[in-house]
Amino acid sequence: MQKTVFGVRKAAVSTGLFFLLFSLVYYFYLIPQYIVFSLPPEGISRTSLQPHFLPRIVIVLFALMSIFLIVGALRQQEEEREAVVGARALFQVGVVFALSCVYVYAQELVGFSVSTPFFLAVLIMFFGTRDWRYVVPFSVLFPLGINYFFWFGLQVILPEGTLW
Amino acid sequence: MLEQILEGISMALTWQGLAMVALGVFVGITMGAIPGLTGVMATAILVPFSFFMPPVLGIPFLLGIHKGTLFGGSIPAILVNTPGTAPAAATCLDGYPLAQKGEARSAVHMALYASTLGDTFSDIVLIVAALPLAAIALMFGPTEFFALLLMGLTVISSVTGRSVVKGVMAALMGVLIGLVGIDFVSGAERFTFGIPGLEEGVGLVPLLIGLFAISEMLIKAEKSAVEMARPPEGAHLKGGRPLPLGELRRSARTILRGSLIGTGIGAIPGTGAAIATFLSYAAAKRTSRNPEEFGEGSYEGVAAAESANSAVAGADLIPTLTFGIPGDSSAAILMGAFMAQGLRPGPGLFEENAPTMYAIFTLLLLGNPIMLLQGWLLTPLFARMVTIRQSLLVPAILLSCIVGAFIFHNYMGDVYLALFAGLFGYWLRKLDIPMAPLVIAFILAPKAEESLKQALLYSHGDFSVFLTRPISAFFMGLAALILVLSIWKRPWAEPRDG
Repeated sequence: MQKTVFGVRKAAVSTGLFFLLFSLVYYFYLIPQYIVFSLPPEGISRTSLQPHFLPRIVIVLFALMSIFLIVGALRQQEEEREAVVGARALFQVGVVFALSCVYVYAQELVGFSVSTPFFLAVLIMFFGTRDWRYVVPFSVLFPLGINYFFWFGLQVILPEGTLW
Repeated sequence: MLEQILEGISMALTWQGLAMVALGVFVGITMGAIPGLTGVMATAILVPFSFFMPPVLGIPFLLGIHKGTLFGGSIPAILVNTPGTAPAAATCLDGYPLAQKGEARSAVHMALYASTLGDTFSDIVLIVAALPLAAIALMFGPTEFFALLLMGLTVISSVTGRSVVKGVMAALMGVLIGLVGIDFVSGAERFTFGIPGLEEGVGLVPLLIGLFAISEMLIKAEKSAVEMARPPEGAHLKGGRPLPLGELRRSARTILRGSLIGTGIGAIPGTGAAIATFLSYAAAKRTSRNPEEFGEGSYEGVAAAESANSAVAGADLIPTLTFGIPGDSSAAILMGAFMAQGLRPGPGLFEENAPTMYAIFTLLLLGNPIMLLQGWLLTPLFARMVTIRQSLLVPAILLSCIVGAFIFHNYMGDVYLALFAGLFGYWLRKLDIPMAPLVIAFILAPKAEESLKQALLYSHGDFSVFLTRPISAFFMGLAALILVLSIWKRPWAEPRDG
């Protein structure tokens, strides 16, 4: 059995706290800093028509819901043994996400055609298929097919890379 | 009007139109037949492809996918007791026992007939109801429209998922994301952080791909390598017989009832096919002459579940196309596709684009016999899809997501957005926070804000206008009632399973 990283309650409480913190940052920092007026604010007569009117209402409600989420989780029965996610699962998700980000960055550098076969081969092997009769044809032919379809079918050029 | 209908039909009856519906249905059944690939996910990934076609081809292609996945989900439910999509869960109850008795082929055929009939029924209701409802909605001013949108959002947040707090929270997240971009009244930039790509708001397609498809792939990535690399137990249609006509005749009433239930439930925002299938199944069992057969391999059970499941396909477009309120995630994605094609779902849709809409409706109807034909001829091929190993499937889907997000604007920023939306969606799924209210609120937020501000402009900033105008007061009262009823016990209450 894999080690539990987040139990149901712990996950809900920490997410609620994170959302609450986000609400505070949003209200006191993001709204004043990142709503950039094109007209002087005093040119808009009514508060309800100001661009920060709705964001303020929504974030206050969101903060309220975050508190409800925390309260609800704290009032729940002890369910820590029920895992939202285990250590191994979290590691695997992290690896897949990181690989995807690296792949997208690699596409910008070396292009779709070069980076994709590596990405597919690494992922397929990571997921446990090591048989080269599957890995090689799939990771080579699938991207070729996609590239061909986009080039000839939709006249779309997939990233070609900046290195060449 | 007759002239517009005829123009629409002539626009639809081209080989390209028929080919795109057929392709959509084929892709939909194929994706639905792969366990774990949902219709929502399939539609989200393939939405960008529809942008390369005119609306009369692109939208029917997506509607074909929508139809196809609902039937396709029944194939793994029957063959390996794993529903391809959540609504097909009820099909497992009798489909799998039938397969164990060596009647897999006839069970799949029953699912096919029931799906096709249910879908056709709801498409007809959609076509008949859409125009009068849109005409009523055209009489609404911004005050009524804001109240209607608020009510729709309240229903979706309260009914979807297991907790009201989580539903409302998801809807608020959707509004917050929807507020990014330029404010239409003041012209102010909101939360664009100086990124030019954000001036028009967060891209709908990358967001959909991330929340519905990438997050699902991350959930699958949790499995161990052994599970991922193991091909599913051989599912095949060996032996068996075509469905006896007598069984179909015996299930006719069940199919009709399922179609009615599916259409009724599907037209209510926030409900969805899963509820409709179990309600239809329960009703069929209660009224059957052979209730003891249910759960042991009853054709009626398969018919009840599948007819209701597919009847939702047309019905959930009723509030989407007439009021601009998508009833569930699939409808929200389809609404996004309509908007990207320059068709704005809502009261004005039929007035401004009548021939196009009639063309789409024609192809929507023609998709049903096409599905029947494909199901008949290609069921053995679709059955093979059940056995694809996840270790090949997940990388292929992830790649399709990345390419799909890229081609939206040929912009790498959209791909990163999709990836991070996927990670965010993964965590929301783990916390059981429903995705549908988030996406629907995201789509509705700009329209709701516009209506709110227009209403306040007309009323000189007086908020009581929402309570003094009768239609608006009715919608506001209904929204409040639904919310109060939903949180009757405690706002944080989560009903227990079972």
